[in-house]
Amino acid sequence: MMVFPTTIQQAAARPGIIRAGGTDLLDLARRAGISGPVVDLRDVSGQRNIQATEDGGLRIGGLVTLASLADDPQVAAMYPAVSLAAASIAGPGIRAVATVGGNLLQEVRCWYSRNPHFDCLRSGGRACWARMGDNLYHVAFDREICAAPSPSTLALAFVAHDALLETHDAALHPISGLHKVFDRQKRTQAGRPVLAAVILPAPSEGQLSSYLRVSARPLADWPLVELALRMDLAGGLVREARLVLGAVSQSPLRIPAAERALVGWAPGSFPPQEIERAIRDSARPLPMTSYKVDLAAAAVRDGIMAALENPP
Amino acid sequence: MKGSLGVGASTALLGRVPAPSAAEPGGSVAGKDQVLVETTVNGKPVVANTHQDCSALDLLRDHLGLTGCKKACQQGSCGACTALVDGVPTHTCSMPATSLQGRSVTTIEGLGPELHPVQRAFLANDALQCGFCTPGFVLAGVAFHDRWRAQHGKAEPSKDQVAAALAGHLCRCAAYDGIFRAMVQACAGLHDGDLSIFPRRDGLEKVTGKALYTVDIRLPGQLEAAVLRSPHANATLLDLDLSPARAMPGVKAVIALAQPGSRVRYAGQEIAAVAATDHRLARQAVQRIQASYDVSKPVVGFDAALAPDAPLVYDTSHRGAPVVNEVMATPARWDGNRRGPFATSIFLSHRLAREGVESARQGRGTLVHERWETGTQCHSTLEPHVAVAHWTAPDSLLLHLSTQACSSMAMDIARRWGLRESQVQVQCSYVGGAFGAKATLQPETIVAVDLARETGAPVRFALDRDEELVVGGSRPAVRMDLALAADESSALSGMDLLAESDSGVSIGNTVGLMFRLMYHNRRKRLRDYDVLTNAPPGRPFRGPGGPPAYWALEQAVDELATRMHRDPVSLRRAWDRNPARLRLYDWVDSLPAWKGRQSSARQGGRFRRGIGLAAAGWFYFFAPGTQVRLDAEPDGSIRLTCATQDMGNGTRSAMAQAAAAVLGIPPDRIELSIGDSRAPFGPSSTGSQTTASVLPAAQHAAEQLRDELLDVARHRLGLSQVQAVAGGLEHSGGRLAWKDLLSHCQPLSFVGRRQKDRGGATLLGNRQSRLGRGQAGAVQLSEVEVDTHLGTVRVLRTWTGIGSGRILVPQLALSQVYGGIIQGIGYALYEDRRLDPSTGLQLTTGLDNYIVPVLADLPEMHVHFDEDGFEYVRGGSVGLSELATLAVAASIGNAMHNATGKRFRRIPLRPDRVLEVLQS
Repeated sequence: MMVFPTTIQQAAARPGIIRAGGTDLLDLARRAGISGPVVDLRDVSGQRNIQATEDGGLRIGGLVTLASLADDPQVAAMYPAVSLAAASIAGPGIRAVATVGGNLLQEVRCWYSRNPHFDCLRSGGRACWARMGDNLYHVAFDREICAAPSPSTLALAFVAHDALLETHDAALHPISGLHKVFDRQKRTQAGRPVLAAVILPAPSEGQLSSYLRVSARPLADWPLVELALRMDLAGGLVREARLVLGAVSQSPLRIPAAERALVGWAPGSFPPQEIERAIRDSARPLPMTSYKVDLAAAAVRDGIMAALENPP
Repeated sequence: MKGSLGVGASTALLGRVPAPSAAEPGGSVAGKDQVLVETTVNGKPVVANTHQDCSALDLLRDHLGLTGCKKACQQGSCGACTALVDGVPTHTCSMPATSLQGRSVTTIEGLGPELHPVQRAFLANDALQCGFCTPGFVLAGVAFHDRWRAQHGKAEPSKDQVAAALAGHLCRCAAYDGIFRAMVQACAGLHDGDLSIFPRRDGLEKVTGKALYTVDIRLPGQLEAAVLRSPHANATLLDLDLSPARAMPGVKAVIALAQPGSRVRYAGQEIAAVAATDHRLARQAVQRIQASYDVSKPVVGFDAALAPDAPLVYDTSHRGAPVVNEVMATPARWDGNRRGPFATSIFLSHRLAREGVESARQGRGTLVHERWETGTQCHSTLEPHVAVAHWTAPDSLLLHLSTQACSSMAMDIARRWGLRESQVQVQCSYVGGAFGAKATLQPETIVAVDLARETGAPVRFALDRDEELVVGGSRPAVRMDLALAADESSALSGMDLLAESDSGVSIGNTVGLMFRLMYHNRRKRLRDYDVLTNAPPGRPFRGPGGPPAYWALEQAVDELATRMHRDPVSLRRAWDRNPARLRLYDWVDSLPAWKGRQSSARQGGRFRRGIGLAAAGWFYFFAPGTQVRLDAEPDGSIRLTCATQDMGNGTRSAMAQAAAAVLGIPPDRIELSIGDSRAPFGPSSTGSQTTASVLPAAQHAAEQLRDELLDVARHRLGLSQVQAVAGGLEHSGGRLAWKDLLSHCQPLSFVGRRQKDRGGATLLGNRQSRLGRGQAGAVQLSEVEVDTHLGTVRVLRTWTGIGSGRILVPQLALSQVYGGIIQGIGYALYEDRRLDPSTGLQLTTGLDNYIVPVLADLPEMHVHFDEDGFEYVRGGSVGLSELATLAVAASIGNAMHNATGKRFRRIPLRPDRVLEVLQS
């Protein structure tokens, strides 16, 4: 059973899994061999644009494709981290179809939870297989019971920019509440929220940002560790910073101590040991993921250098 | 065709299709889960009824028959399914069919009729081997080219730009070098004109998507099969109830593949199979089958298998244990889960080897004693294992099969189903990659044949990607304890190897053979053990046993040279007796990059570079029974026929070239007919024996034609002073082309045979495969760059020296070598099958987490062919496919050491492992 609502308000009112680009849902349905009702957003006319907001930021429709996001000159100029993050995902053949909303709300990429032979916490089972088994690609900053890292690369960049999520009812929610607003347990129930757009606040004067991805293969590979960084400057010194790690925790992970350590310094003159220590102090690796802590600590230096290379 | 209206639906037909209802407030609602889609494909309006979970690829392939779109990874990782949607390259397997509503789709079939410059560039640069990924690459390349030319004119794009545009496209043969060159040349406008001569005989069919692979075969009334596989790695099947599946409408047959009471030894083992009217239904029916198991703790990995209380993988009988290699497993002792040793050396040698090692250990000489480990590498051919079986009569079987062994497969099938060989016809015009995994009769074939017999209809069984990765074949993980000793005069004084291979439930690993092949010496003690685990059986993989063996041996030699302060080339030269390699060492010494290499001690900073050398050898096999028939017609046409196959290795091109060279005519004048078992016996493409088998036979056939035509000229036409020249003959009165002579003849037919080598061959083998005298040799250098912060490794440049005799079609030989190198890079850096340690279920079940190289991994590659030394071989050539991949990982290991001063003992060189070693 599938429906093609023409507005996201209609979509919110229908039961079923919300399908935007569908790049991942097709694979999940194939693996499971079954699928429930689908609310396909194909015929939704809005939410496909990137528009300037009144306060000088951008509103990115939930149905904007990753390719459009990565190619948008405004996004590249105002939010390099967002642009670079979008361009790093999969390959062009997927980015042409996959959407911002789909990327934020995709299922985790855990090789246990995706294997129909394992009943895990996400599919009604009682145990996390990864925790007891092969967790080479799982969390290293362990915060919740399920050991799968947050799969969304865009979420990282949006957290770095303090983005807001706009739902179908025009309500705004901080991005940090992504998984509370879009409760996975309710994802097929009529009346659950549907993402309308992501609102990026106006970048401050001289803001620096970057996104960095560490993966084994140079292109079209999942990140082992990824990092988004934003630095707001005042008088040549960092006034406020966001340092967000991805692929290492159950949600995009800010490292507040590292952010504090960046404040008050001129970009490029940071005390790297202090930042590294902040990262290492907040790590809680699984048996096979302590390398991710090393990678995160090493990636920060690259991230800062990259931010300096992307001046506004 | 399942309820579709197909391409070319007229507007009148469109008019009769009810429009989707849009009345409801919730938007349009489709009936059940079937949805009508109106779209445009290759310029024609299309209306199709699709399922909600149907992908755009399913619609294009199954409904519209556009088989140039290939189904390979099924999850957007490989790009074989690419089509242009509104001009944009899109992975159609990951796009819902319903999303095509109102869009315009161009598939590879929709290009043309003129070839696009990118297609011409692909042909000219031999940017393809098996061709299965080619339509996807071509379409993505076309889109990039057209955009590039519009923006940049004829400027050349950089490697990074091409790699980014083609990211998400996988070529398992690794034709990336040709693809990159093709893209650069096409963008630079070098292929705007006419098609130039191209080396690959079946290239045109591949770049246009016209090549029909087994997976593309659609016979009238064809059913689709699916298999129930055990979700348990170690269990006893208690009960199997097929009736719920049988009761489903559209299900035509359900058969048991395991009987209650039988042991299940790996997760993925076949339990039952279904044939139904379509694949989705077959899969649903499989899920209805009731199977219950008594589940036991499985044995996963070496340590679990060798633990004192380990459950036995073969507890009562090990009869019927599958064999991992192409050769029969020799008898050996079973000790728990360990089987062996298979000793490749004799007792006296053992004593000498141990003495040599012991003496070095006590300080009289130098000893390197280390443990080396390699991971499990999956073949994961892009065309999965697939068979389409059709019993054309109760005792007559037509089997379309993706195989690298057309002739021998037909024999095996005849034997299994009690048929005469003449009653079995195996066809495989195109093979979408094989690499060793498609050489023997396996369950996928048996399922298709049995279900076709049961239903009386043609049945196709194609593995899905997760099945392909689990049961489609793998190179076993190996761990090797190797003691390598040199005496005080730096002569090899002892080689003591204990190799253990985990090929799951299969036996017969022969890693030690490679140690015997290299550095001829009596002082060797080589022991091979199979370690039995509850994992799927391994299958032969390009140079079976070789890459792991050289990973250990060639690093140990390198380490020994370092400790003895000897140059690694001079040490090898002192130990080696292989004439081909001895010449190649001279070539290595002449390379500026090698001469100028730095020692690791002189490097600092984050990025370290190093160059490493490794050597390798491979056997020379050929199939003595090979026959090539040559048919020449009065109209001048010449055709070669042989029951061999072309899996991307270039069989067609080599045969044509061999015959053309005898006659002095362009190879494109010769037609080819291969990939059908009813033709004269042809070699299986295993052990790098294809060229050494078909080349002399094709040559022999052409020689017979030449001699016959010379005879005709002399005796029938009464010409004098007749002698053959290029393209025909010369006589006292002028010249005559072969074509003119043929017009004087009835149709002629000759059978060319694979005649004996000068001096004969060894006694090992049979008519299908025999070990020849002499060995091919290779040397491999790799330059790596290690990011010591992130643990990532890039191979920047490679130099490969190949000594395998005469090179017949240089561009295709190069393609083989390039592919072997990049596959070796994948083996060294990425490829890593992973099993859950507690259940034995495979975790790497997609090409998103089983990582293989992409174009961005392409190094700058230099290849040198040493063509001497095989003059005694008919045709002068022995195979090189396996040779090219054997030493790559080892050379990377030595380069890592040169770069960092650390020894890396385990592959793949994942960032976590690299960091661990660097921090140690």
